[in-house]
Amino acid sequence: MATSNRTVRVLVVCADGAATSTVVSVRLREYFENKGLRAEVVQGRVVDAKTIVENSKFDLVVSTAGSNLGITNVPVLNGVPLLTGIGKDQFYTQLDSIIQQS
Amino acid sequence: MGSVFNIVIKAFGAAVLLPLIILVFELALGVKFSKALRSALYIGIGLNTLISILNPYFMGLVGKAVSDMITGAGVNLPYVDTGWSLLASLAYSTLIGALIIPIGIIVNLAMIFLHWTDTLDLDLWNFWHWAFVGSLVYYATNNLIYGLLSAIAMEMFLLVIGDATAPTMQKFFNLPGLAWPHASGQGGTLIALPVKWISDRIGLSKIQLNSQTIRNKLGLLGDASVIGFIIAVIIGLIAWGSKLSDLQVWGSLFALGIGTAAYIFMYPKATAALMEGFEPLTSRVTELLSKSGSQRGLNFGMDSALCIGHPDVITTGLLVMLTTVPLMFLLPGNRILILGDIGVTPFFLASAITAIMGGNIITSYIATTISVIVTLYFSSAVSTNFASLLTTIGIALPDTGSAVVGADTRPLHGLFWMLGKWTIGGIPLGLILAFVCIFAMLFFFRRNKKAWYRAFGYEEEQHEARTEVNV
Repeated sequence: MATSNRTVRVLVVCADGAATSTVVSVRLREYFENKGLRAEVVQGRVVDAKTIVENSKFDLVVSTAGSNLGITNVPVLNGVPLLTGIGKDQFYTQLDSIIQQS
Repeated sequence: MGSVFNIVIKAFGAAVLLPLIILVFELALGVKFSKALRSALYIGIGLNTLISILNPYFMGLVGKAVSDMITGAGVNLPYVDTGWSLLASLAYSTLIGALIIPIGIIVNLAMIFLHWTDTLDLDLWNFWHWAFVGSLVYYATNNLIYGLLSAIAMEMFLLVIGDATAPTMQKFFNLPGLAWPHASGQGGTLIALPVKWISDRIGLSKIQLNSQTIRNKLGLLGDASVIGFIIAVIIGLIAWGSKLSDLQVWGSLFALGIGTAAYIFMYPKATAALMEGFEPLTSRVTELLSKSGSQRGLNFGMDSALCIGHPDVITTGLLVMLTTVPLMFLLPGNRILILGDIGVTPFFLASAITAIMGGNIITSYIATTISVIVTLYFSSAVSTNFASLLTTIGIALPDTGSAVVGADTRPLHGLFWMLGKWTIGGIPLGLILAFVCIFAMLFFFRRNKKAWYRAFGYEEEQHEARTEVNV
């Protein structure tokens, strides 16, 4: 179980690193805040995702522009459910289990 | 009503007025006050950073070189694209922009109710595209109704196109339940159809290239900031090429390149603040509408940005981005330098096109390149009035000599701008034509959906979508 003094690091990527990744980041920050978890949410462009993850330690990656990013060492979640609201609950279930494992 | 609004917007400026409008909408829809206030502030931050800090910096930097290029070397490219955020800022700073969100939602709901569309567009932010075109028409014709009708025509057209492309795009991008009535992402769709039709017949569609190999070969050139640097240095070389013995000139040349790269790097950050401010409103509307929407089996309209991470779209976008650089300088009659959006426009245009082409890089490249050429011509045409329109609504611009801020106007924006302002003897011929075409599309699409899906690239026997989602 994640303890309160640990920070969860999430990389959120979208096509341009500005638009949809911002929406997902806002919703993730809200979620972590409600759970009482400390989290750092970093935004980036999908083309840079692999390099960013290789150069810095992240617990997971959330992408709104396809999850096939060539990343193997960190779990990658599809962030589209946070934009549409469909499948949002499954998304958070997966998120919770990733946080618990890390 | 229009003139009162113009006085108010001039007095307050977009960076103050748009936050207020959004605040009112959010409170009306029951968003918590503290959240609404914060979001309004973030919209103000985003607009202020774009309009008052980044844009003047960039125009000031590039303006001198572009001016020298025109007067010294006679290369007549006076309009400088500083990125789509300025267009969005303009769009939301007019009366049409203030009305577009409620009107856009009402038109969409009415079309759903009449069974004219199966798309519920939840991508509120991107209503700006319609407001942008509507505002251009409004100020060109001085007729608010024409402006509003242009915006509505564009929305209706995109909802139909969103429906027609949904099966193809859902399958190709592996994103079920969504549709993309996005003006830039669908910008090349009408161009893709004939290109696909011809390519299928001459066998071009059968030649497949590996997109990953192409991407690996591009290396450093795959970065928009690097391309921005290169374009700026080209401009500098044309402007000051005869004075290269002077060390000072070399300094200016590299300052220009690095400043441009910095701008392309920074402006998505300001946009992110704007998007963050918009989020509570989108979130609230999604909450209110999405449940009944999914009960009826509607597709949710989304930003085409969701499609741009696809490897084939990235590869097509990168190749077209590289092609755009010589095109800007060599295309006869072109007057615009695409700088801010050099890493944006080719990718958005490539999104629907690549899906329609089933991931074929060659045909996608051809259709996207044609779309960019159309964009360059529309941008050249729209930009003649763009700067004066910005001043009219109170966006101050630095004096940059012969260089003027331009508008990156993609194919559908340009099309509806032309239709909207086309009147003969007081009769809005273009608008009549637009609505006749939209209703004809609706009629024929409803009658034979399968044939339309196929024309837009849908293949039933096509095996599973190629993007894997490892969730």
